[in-house]
Amino acid sequence: MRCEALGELLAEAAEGRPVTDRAARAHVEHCLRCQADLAQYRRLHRSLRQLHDRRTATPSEWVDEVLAAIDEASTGSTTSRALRRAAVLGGMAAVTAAGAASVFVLRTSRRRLAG
Amino acid sequence: MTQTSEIAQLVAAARDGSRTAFDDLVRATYDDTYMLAYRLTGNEEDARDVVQEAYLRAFRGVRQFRGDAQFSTWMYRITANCASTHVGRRRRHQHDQLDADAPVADTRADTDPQAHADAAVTRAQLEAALAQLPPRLRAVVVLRDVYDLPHEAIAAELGISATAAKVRLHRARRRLREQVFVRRGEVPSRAEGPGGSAHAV
Repeated sequence: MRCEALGELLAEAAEGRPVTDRAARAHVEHCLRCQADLAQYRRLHRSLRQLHDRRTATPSEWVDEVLAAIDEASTGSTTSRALRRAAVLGGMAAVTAAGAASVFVLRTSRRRLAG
Repeated sequence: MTQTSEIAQLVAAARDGSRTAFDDLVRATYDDTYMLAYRLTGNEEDARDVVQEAYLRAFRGVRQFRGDAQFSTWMYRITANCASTHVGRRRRHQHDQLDADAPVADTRADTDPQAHADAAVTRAQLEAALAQLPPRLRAVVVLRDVYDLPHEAIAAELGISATAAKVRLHRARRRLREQVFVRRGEVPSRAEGPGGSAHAV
């Protein structure tokens, strides 16, 4: 049996799943490399589990935003954050375009007056 | 009253149509749901979009929630599904920006002897390694190893087969292990496959 064939099995064993394959178990018992890998997978698994308990305190406005969206859904006028953001970006783009157009018109008018 | 029983009471009231109870559920579970969404999407804006969509779906479906699973598990599944859709849509429109945006790995272990000697997996290293995974691999390992969802549930929410979910999980774990341990030089990397350097026993 080759070590590289055991990668997935070692990762599953690290979750606590028993190794039922006798040959694989016998191999791991005598293979220092596989034992080291198993130990690493266990540490990795433990560390990943610990991430679950990590919380980040989010601003209360974010929760309010969700509750407002639910309000809208209740009244049948749902607007998702993504749509709202797209609308804001669209508005900003329109304002920018209008500004650029004004500058263009002004410059053209000045050139005509100067000419 | 424990938090679990308090949430169970809120769920029961929300299923009976109490809007106040549902709002309290959102407040009680928002941080947890956001953390999962952030881990799945890799950035704050997308995570907030996903969380909002997830709670909207939960609001619409809470009457159908049978209560045979914990509310948190139910929310994880909805969030995973929303994130999968969201990330898929973003990838189609933005050409893998998620990967390009991923923060670079924490390289302190390469330069800091103290960090190198430290046998514990630091949270920063692990978070950085997770962020470097492609979204499809990250989703599976986060849902399985961090949030303890069963393979079948993960497969269902991501729209893939259970076998595909297991294959992705193994790839993700292998990459994480390589990122976290092999980079630290604890054990030389070994290739998996016919051309690998591993020895036969």
